[in-house]
Amino acid sequence: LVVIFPTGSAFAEKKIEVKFCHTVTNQTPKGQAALKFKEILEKSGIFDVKIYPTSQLYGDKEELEALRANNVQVIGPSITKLVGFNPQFQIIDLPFLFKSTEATEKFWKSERGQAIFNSLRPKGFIGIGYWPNGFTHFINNKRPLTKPVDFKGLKFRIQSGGLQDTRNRLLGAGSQTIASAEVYQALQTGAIDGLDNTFSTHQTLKFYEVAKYLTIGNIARIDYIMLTNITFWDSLTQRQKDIFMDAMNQASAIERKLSDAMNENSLEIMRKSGQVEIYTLSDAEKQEFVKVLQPLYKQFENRIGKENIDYAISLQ
Amino acid sequence: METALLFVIFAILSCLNVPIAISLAAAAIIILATTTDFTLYMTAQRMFASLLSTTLLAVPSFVFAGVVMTHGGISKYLIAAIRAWTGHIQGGLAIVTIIACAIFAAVSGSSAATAAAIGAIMLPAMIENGYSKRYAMGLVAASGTLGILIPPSVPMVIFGFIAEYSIGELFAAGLIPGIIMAGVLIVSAIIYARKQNMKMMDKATRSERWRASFKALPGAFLPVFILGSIYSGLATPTEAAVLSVFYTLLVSIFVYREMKWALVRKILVESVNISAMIYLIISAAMVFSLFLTVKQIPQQILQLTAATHINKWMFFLVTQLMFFIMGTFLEAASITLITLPILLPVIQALDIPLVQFCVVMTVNMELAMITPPVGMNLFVVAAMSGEKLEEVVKGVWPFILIMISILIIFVLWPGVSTWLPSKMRL
Amino acid sequence: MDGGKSKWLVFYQAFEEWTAGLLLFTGLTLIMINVILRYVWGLPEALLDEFSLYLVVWGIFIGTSVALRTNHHIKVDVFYDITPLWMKRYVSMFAHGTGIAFCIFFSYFGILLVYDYYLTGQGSTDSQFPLWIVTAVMPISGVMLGVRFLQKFIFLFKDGGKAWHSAMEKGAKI
Ligand code: NA
Ligand code: NA
Repeated sequence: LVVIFPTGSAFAEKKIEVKFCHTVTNQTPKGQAALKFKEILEKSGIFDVKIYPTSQLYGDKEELEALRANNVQVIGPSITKLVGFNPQFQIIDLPFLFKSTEATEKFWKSERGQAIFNSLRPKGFIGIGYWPNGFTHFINNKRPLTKPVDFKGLKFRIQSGGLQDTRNRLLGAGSQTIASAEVYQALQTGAIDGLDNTFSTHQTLKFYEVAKYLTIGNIARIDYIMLTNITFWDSLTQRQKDIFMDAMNQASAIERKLSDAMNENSLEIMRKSGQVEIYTLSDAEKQEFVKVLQPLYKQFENRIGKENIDYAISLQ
Repeated sequence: METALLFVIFAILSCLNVPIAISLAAAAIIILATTTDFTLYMTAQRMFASLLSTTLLAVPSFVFAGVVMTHGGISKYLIAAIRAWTGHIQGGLAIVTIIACAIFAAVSGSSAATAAAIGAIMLPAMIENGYSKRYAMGLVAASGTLGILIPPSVPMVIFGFIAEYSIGELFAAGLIPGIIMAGVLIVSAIIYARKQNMKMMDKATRSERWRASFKALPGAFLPVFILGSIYSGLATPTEAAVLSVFYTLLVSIFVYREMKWALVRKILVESVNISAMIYLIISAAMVFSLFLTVKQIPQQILQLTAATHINKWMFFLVTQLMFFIMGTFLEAASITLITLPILLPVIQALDIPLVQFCVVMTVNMELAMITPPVGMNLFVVAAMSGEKLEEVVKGVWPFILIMISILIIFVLWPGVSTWLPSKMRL
Repeated sequence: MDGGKSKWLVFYQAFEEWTAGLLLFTGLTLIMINVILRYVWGLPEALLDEFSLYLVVWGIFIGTSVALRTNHHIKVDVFYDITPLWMKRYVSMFAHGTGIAFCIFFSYFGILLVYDYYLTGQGSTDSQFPLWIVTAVMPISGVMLGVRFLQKFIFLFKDGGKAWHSAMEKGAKI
């Protein structure tokens, strides 16, 4: 029996399939970087990357479970989504903690940050990249927010309870989780007074069309963590892992540049629109907030780790 | 091939009297298990996660409020009052139904919620007044779809989010088309009533009218209460739906005093029955669409279309046909999320106004809600009237034809959609 | 088929109905309370958002078996209606059998999901409430729905199908 193989290629054709699903559009920095990751990784000729954007495969309530089941191999959820696995991830929600995007990036690249990333291994996945999105800033309908007392009696939309809820409470404000599709109308009718999010979200979801005041204050972070399934990861050879990580690192660098540019651009659009009055908090004003929020830092010290918090503060 | 098999299994199961929800889920599980390396317990996760949605809460809320209205007196008095005012007009109740849906659509972003809220009052009213059950059900299902065309609109928010376009402008674009559609439906109702030579009642005397209206006042205040609670910022549209449950309870207990303890269990069970039926279908349809998205079927077809050089009219024809076909099985949010990102560059290249495309697409998504086998408004109406799905479908198909003609008008006449948003920009 | 019900069946039916109904109603009540908290005191309670949703979804999942008993799940009846009576019994055997099979898979997948959440100890986004408890409703409701399918399935064979025949002739929906 003679079997003739077309030299090599028949076997080489069998590529490793990588499903990458995320919840935003292809035009966003995360979407663009995901496409870049696909482009770079497929050049190797051994991977076949399928991108599923805009929650069309899995939404943010199910992508982690899908990753653990190895139905997808890469996802990039918001870091806050991992608090349920390791409370230390909540560090990015602490207000006025990180001084800059660089400081945040340094934190996750440090030994401390990497230890938190790798703490996920027993849960069936690991962190392989940090994709920044941006600092949050308050947008609201009632008045310019310049000092803690301005928050009194206002109702803010939050994305998850716990820390953000406690933060608003200390400022005398109420918190509510509202589906993102309803935020625009809720702002318009006054069911909520405001929310904090990144420049790009305020602009692309058009919150600035219906809110009057934007307070620039680098409050907390909304960033993404790139995760991969551990069964998939361990099935790769060292060479394949290197190729994979190389593509991831290149994509991460691109994403960083894009998200910075995107936030700047969004702020510019909002500024030019004349639809929101913009106020920038000075360092002294930020310190006023930090004073009021002391109980918050105390309360979350145990969960996040005092050394982690101190280290984050030390970074520039 | 696998996709064809998926549909065949679904068709066989549902024709053999397996509940639609279970046919959808079972077909998807069989195909996922045999043709992919998909980890199957994720289907359970998908069913659970798809129901954990705040916006969906409007459906059980309005269903609940509807059941309370039926048993607590509100519907009875409302029907009497509407009859006193419109009973002598041929097709009067049908017109009231359409206008009520249009007004309700102005506060609710969801079509199922609109059909549930208005259907609870108007379905029994129409049937009691000699309308055929089929026609009444078809009319409520179709008029209910105005919920997503007249602003606010949940699918338009998703459209704006993906297209990165002003939601305010998209909302404005839907207003005139929404009013036109309501108008067309009213004309069709008048023609229907004339053709059927609907019986008219004697004109009620003035004192009869006022007496009936006074009695119905607490119930008639419900729409005002819902509108007011949203526009005053008391509640989001979803919360307003929940508030309507408690409003109807209070009116039934304290004003009409028709709420008996013995009714409590009955009301709970009826609300649970309808809500559970609707939720189970939604979650099963989400499992069904899982296979289609994993295989990227719609994208492949659309990418083919996008790659060929076609003119504007061909593009409209192909996309609307595609939406219509997808709409028989999938719901608006999935269709928008799957297709719009691929279509956006083509829309821009062909110079089609985005607001017009949004309006046309939204009308198609309205159609999706009344086309079998998976159409949310069909299920809502079937559940509320206790009728078979086929009966509702028989009642709704004339409206499908009407809405398709409206869709064609909105394609050929962009001004309907673009005029109001362009005024906003000035 | 509901004739001559045992005490146990009456109790079970009451349990099923009250559990589903009260869970749903309590969920909606929590939302109303939150609206009042927000509007009157400007202090909504974020936890209520999360639990109201869980309670409603729990009630509805448990309610799927209530809806089955009362024939509320939508089916395509066109072909069933034109089927001769003797064949209807076999079609129903297939339909209820498929229902039972679905419930077995659904409950089994539900258990795997719950176990997975239990192993990872994952908490909910807002309150860090254990997700394995939240999702436990899936296998529970799967079994409850399966019980009702089984009940319908067994009835097809009662007295060799005679009980079913006479019920159908009386116009019962089964
Ligand atoms: Na609407
Ligand atoms: Na449909």
